Order: sequence, then structure tokens, then C-alpha cells
Amino acid sequence: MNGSPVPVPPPVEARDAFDGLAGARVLVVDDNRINRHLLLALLERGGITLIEQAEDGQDALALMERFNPDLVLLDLMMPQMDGFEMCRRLRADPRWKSLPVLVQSSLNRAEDRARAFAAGATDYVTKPINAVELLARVGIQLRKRAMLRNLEQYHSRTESELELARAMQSRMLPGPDRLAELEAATGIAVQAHFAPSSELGGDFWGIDRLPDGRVAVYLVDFSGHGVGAALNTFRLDAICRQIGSTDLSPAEFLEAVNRRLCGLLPSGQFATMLTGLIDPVAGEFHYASAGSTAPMVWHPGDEAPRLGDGSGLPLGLLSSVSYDARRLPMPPGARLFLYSDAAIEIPIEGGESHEVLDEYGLATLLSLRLHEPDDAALLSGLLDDLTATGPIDDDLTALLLTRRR
Amino acid sequence: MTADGWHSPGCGVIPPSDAGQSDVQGFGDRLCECRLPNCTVLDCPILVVDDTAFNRTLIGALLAEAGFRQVSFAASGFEALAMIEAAIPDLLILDIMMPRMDGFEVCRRLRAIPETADLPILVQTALSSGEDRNRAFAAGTTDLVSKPLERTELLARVRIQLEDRVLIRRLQAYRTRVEAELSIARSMQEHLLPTPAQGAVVATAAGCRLRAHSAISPHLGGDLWGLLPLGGRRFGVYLLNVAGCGISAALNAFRLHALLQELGPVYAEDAAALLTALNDRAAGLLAPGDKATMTYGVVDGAAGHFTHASADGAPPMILNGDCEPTFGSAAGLPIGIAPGTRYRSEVMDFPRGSVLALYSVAVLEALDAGGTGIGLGWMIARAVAEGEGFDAVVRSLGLALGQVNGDDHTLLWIEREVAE
Repeated sequence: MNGSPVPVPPPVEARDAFDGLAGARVLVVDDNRINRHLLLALLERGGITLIEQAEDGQDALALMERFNPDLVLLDLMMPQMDGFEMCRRLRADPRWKSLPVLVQSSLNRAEDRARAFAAGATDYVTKPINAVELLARVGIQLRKRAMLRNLEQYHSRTESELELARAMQSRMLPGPDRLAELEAATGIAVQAHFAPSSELGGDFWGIDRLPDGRVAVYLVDFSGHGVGAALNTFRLDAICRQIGSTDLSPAEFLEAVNRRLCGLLPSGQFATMLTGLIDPVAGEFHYASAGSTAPMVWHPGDEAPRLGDGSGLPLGLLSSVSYDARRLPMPPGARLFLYSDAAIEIPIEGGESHEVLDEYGLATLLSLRLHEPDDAALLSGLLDDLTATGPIDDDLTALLLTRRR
Repeated sequence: MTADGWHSPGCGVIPPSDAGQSDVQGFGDRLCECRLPNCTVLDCPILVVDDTAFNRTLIGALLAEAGFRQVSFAASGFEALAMIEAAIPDLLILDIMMPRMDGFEVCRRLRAIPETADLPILVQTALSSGEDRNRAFAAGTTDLVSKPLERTELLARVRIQLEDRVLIRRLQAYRTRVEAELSIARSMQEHLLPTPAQGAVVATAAGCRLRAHSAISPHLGGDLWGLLPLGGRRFGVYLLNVAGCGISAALNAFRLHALLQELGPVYAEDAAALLTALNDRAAGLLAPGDKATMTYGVVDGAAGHFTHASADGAPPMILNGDCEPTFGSAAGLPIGIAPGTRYRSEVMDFPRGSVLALYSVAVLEALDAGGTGIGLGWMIARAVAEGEGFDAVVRSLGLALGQVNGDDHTLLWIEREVAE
């Protein structure tokens, strides 16, 4: 075998995009045989070879499905069904809603043209046919259609792939059944909001009941968003499950995750993470944070939430880092709020430039709703407040945990 | 979280001059790439070029009455070009007969600039002048409206042009964003694989030469391979392929890679034990129906053995000179099918000077699909006989696969040195 490069034909998609005419299918509808032949010859001269003919609207409609044209050249005045009616019927069918329909007619009064456009015609040429103009218009419509189809194919293919991946990502998070089970067993109710900024996100959270009655919860936010960040959430999920959470303190758990991520993440990528244990006997929330947001806790009767400390080096940057053990009181009836940084990086509209809703701003919004007894209402009310504050352009996760007993 | 170098999706990918006028509201039920509320074709900027004040007023009134909010006017071709240079509108409504620079010339100049090559240009001409119409199309006009202007026709033409433009831009923005996301993801997937330098260090220590060819699809995929360093002139090598394609296969490949990072140091010595442990752990991670094929083996450069286990992976092939290639026969269920599956190891002879080839099933399938009857074994044997080795095989693989599909495929080529 010799080493000379072999020319590879461009992929089909690219060919279609650059020359919409090559494989284009055109349906010519005219009751006059001579006109049809004239149009046929003209189109062939323009490089279009896949042409079908119909004598009137009814005939043409019957052909549509089988021939599946890319463009219809439509006469208006025809027996049986005229061009206006055919056009209306095409537009009523979702399959042909955006099909280019180029009307060619000897009717040249402004009212006729207006009627044709009202019926859904894409374009209009008057007889006698001007060959240059007709070919130019046919070419413009076909190329645009080829480009649109190419883009639409890409859209629908990736959309369904992303949909599949999105379903995988949401299966990774605790579902309603597990949360109901957790509440029944521990008295801790969880209300969660998870909203990636595109189809997939770099946020991730989990909650687990330990054999000794404590509840482990964690919230992770990877740098970036989209598919790449999502890939990281999947490997972190595998890591967390592999480490298991039974014997480690939150700080030790973070250190274990960090060591592994340091070996895996490409430089420039990192994650923030907060992990904690709710100890119902001690009435405390023990936690550690790798650059996550400040957890907020409030007790019945409190006027404002107490802010914990979220500081710490993010994961994936330095493998030898150690994390501080921290705690917040969490007696029965207390509530804990965890969130990704999207909630405190909302630009404040109308404020000074570059000003964002920080942790204190969020705490202020939260304090207005502290005594809302219904978890779902509290969280959705707070999210409304956040949306009203300004645009949220990052993955947003928010968790509300309530000690019911 | 956002970080430097990461593009936010949506309006961010639309050129700044267009942001804010870029979408049809509620187009179908599809994802809207533009997050600004109330974006419609009515917000698209339109530039009307006419030397007659009366015509400008008339067109402006018709457009305003129909609800178009961003109409500007130019009284000459020069003024129009200057305005377009400052901000490209979404549609140009252009008169032909103008002093100094006529509409034809404006058209030609705009078509010569890449930024405006696809700008919709709606030219006003008299119906009767066939010559003008031809010249207009030749100069690059998108559409014609007849003079005297008729309200319904003008508005229909304007709407059609703007709707198409907005739709195309929305789809292009989507594609740009998704392609950017996928390209980041793809480079992350490449980052999972050992670099040639890493491969050389590990293989050389065992008296071998390692060559790897892996093609990752631009749409991502589930192929993965890796090396586990061992002491005593040995190393472990695995090749893994998650069933399916695209993003979801890549997500599962990342999961399995994370597991292998954990299990490798513990089980690397024992091929069967590694697969058994991986399969047990994977059961808790993969969704029902998700599975992966995998081959893992230990190359022993001192004893001249390749000891491997297989989870439905393509059989390893050892080529020794002119002899028929030897194929491994270890078999087992794919990873993720049944927890508790016990895998078994098989020892193959790996004499000096021979070549061990590991490859993804896609390689075999593609060769079969060609209908040539050319198997990988034949191909490798011939390449070895002609002294071209790995490069020749990769080249012919490229030919066989490139035209069949753009799927992932991997070929690992481990040559045991003839002498110490």
C-alpha cells in the first residue's frame, strides 16, 4: 500500500449545505402542458433533475407524500382545485408548513399577489416567465431550505442526545421516592431545585442516611457548565459512591474526594463542594466546605438565617489540602439551606455596575420567608425572588432541609 | 459555576450588534436560544434605503403600522453602506433607481463583504422591467417587491425574510453553542487517555513498544483505554467500549474510568479479579440496559505472557512472524449486565518480536461492513510482512472506517522487543 493521501468526499451534510440544487426535488403544478414542459426545460437547464409534474391542485396534493418535494412551482388558475386552495391546504399540514411554494401566474394585479401571499405562498413570479428571475428565485429558496434542513437535522439529533443525557443526569440525583423514604425514617424533609443553565449542568447533590441515624448531604458545583461539566459530575458520583460515607468525617470525605479529583481533572477545571452530616442526637450540622457557598440555618422564631462558613480551597487544585471541620446548631424544627453560587452571583439590575446579590442579599431575601411553613412554597417563593432580582446564567441548585422532629 | 474561558450559552454566541433582536418568541415548543423576553421579528432592525422622502415615509408608515419597532432610513447608497458598516440590520429594503450609487451597486458591494453576504435584501422594482429584475438578481438581491408598493405584499415579503433569518440564526446559535460544549467534552475525553510519553515509559519498562490509535467522534463516544503500571517488567492494559454512542456513552465511560482509577491499584495484578470487581461496582452506577465491553490483561515482558480476561471484548490478537495470528478465547458477559459475574483469565504466549493487537469491536464491524472479506488479522499480517507495521494498519483503518462511519475506534499495538 502506498502512503499517498486519498481524497475523501465531503460528508453528505456539507455537500447539501453548499449546493442545495444537486439533489433538490421540485414539483411543477400547472394545468397547461406546454407551460409544464417549458418550466421543466428551464429547471433542467438550472441543474435541477428531480422534477415531478401535476395538472392541478388535487393531482399535486396526491403526489406530495410520495414525491416529498423541496419546492413547489404553483400555477394559480387551474380546474378542480386552484393554486390558492392548494396553498392553503399545504399550509394547514404541519409537514408542508415551511415548504417553499413559488407561485407562477399570469395574474399580475396587486390583489392577486396579495391573495396568494395570504394563502401562504412563499414567492411570486408573473407569466410570461422570466427565466433568469425564476431560476434565481428557485435557487435562493432551495439553498435556504437545504441550509435550514441541515441545521434542523443537527438540532434534532443533538437535542435528542442531550435529552437522553439529561435524563441520565437527573436519575443520578435523589428522586421523590428516596426523599420520602428518608423523611419517614429520619424526620428530615428535603425540598430540591435543580436547574442546569443549558441541557446539562455541572451541579450535583446527594443525600444519604447512615446506619447510625445521621444524614449525609453534599452539594457540588463544577467549573463551567454544559456537557463537559456534566462529565465531571458523573465521575464524581462514581467517586463518592466508591469512597462511601460511613466512617469519614465531612472534612476527611472532602480530602478523599479532592485527592482523587486532583488526579483526574484537566488543569483549569475545579469544583466547589460542601458536605455535611446532620446529627439528630446532638442537634448539630457538622460540615466542611471546599470553596462552596455559606450554608444558612435558622430555628423556629429566628428573624434571620445564621450564615455558616463556606470558605476553603476548591477541589482539584492541590491534592495535599486539608479542610476545616465546622458546625452549626440544628435542633428539631430547624431548617438548613444549601445552594450553588448561581444564587449569589445574580447581577443586581439598576444597581452599580458589577454588583451582584451576595450571601447577605440572599439571606435578606430568605429572612422574608423564614416562617413559611410549607417547604415547597418557601423554596419556590425564594426562587421567584431570585428570578426577579436579575438574570441567572449559571446552573442553579437549591436545597431546603427541614428537621420535622 | 462560570469560569474564565467558558462561554455562556444563549445570547452570548450571537454577535453583539444583533443581541436583543434575535428571536421569534414562542417558535413552536423548541428551545429558545435567546433568553431575552419578548424577542420577535418585530424587534429585528430593518434599514429602508430610498432617495425619495415620500417613499421612505410610506414604507416606514407601513412597517410601523404592522408593528415593526426598529426601522431606520437612508437616503442614498453611500449613507446606507455607512449605516450598515456601523450596525448590520436584519433586512434591507432597497430602491434601485437612486442618483450616484444605485441599488445594483449597493447589492454588489454588500455581497462582497463576508459579514453581509447573507443579509436579506428586498429590492423594489417596477413589475414590467424584466431587465432590471434580472440585473437585481445578478447583483445578489434576495427578493423583489413590485412598485408601486402594495401593503400586503410588502409586509408578507418582509415577514418571510425576517422569520427565515431569525430561524436560521437561532439554529446556528444552537449549533455553535452545542459544538463548543462538545469540543470541550471531547478534549476532556482525550485527557482520559495515556499520552504517548506515558505509554512509552510504561511499555519500555516491560521491554515493549506501545503504539495507540484512538479516534474520538466529534459527537463523543464510549471508547476508553488505559495502562496500569506494575512492577517487574509487567504492565496492565485495558480497552473499554460503552455500548451506544454520543454523549450518554461518554457519560458512562467517565463513570467507569473513575471506578477503574479506584480499582486499578487494588486488582491490577489479576485480570479476572479486576473485571469481576468493576462489574460488581458498575451495577450500582449504570442504568439497566447500559453496558460496556472490556478487555484487560497483564503484559509480562519477562515471562513472555499476556494474561487477560474479557467482558465480551474483541479477542486480543498475537501475531508472530509469518504464522497465523493467535486469538484469545477468554469470554464473559459485558460489564453491567449481571452483578456477581465471575470472569476467568487466560494466558497467551507473547514471544519476542511478536505483536499484540487490542482493538474495539467497531474496528471489526467496519472492516466487515466493507464487504471486502479483509479481516483485521489479514490486514495486520500484511502490514507486518511489508515492514510498515502500525502506521500502515492505522492508515487502512482510516480508509475503511472513515467512509463507513465516524464512530469511535481504538487500536492498541504492543510489540515485544526482539532483544533485551
